[in-house]
Amino acid sequence: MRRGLWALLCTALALLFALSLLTPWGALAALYGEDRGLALLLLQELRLPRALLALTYGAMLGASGAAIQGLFANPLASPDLTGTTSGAALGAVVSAYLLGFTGPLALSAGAVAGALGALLLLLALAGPRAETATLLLSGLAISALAGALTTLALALAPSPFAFYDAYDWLMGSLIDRSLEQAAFAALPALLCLALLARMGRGLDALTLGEEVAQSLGHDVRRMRLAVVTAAIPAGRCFRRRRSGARCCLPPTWWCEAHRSVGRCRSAS
Amino acid sequence: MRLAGLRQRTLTGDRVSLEQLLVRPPAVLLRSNYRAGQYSGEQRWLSHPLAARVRAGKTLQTDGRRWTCMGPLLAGEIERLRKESAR
Repeated sequence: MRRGLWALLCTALALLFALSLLTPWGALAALYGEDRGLALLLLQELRLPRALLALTYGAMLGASGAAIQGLFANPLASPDLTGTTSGAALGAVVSAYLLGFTGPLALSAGAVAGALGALLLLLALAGPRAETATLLLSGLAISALAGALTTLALALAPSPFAFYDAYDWLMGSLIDRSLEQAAFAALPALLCLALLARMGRGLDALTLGEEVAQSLGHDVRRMRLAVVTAAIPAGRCFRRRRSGARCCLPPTWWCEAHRSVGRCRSAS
Repeated sequence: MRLAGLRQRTLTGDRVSLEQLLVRPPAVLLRSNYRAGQYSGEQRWLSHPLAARVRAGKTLQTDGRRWTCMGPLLAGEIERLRKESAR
């Protein structure tokens, strides 16, 4: 049944991906009739990056959200609790408005630098062997600090468009992106997805509590560090969309759903 | 814009995307060149590889500051835009 469910999900995903490329169909068909080359370029250079970014960011937000919720054992937890999302926004704003690095890839690099800076600050504050509660509190403090600094940077920016662009920062957008930007987003996201997938069993065990997970042979400290680090690409996603959308499928829900068939067993 | 002989196309949310410019190129593209050297999120589409393929009939430049207050400072700008769009 599990294979059937995966097949159904993959089929639905492929169908939605194709729909996002081809709709609105009328405009594409009309352009194809006038200039075939331009229509294919539009499909390849505008719609394909948009669809790829939606797929990548959706997968990254879902995976990192589920991992963070498993780590903090709270279905309301999200990657922005680590402070990396606010750090990414600060990095992007400083790069574009204060340092003048305005190219799309330079902006993304600035966001990554900001997220990495927030992560290093988190590790410095909480320590590499910190407990989950300490990580959570440190992350909240960094998030608040980075948010305030972002507002200050926008206020002090020499560009008069900084506050107009705040709407864009808040709502986010996937339109008018290039294949280069999609590749720049996809590569680290895929690496982090692979890392989180490898930790799947450990994250499932974590829903039973840190002591139980440790007793089952999972290195909880290493998992904490890996999950928080994997939230960096999610931070870049949140640079696009800062609505604070909660990510789906917390491991606690998944575990409860399978409790009736004995998939989650307590070590005690 | 109306006084300058330009009719704004109806846009969803008053925003236009690069795809819309490519699929239905406008007769006139009116762009603000105010602080063109500063970063603006709304103008980042200009750096997209397909931006050069926009087939607008004519691109007119204007200083966006004068459009902020819609006062008498716009009178000269309206006349200038009318002459340029008629060429």
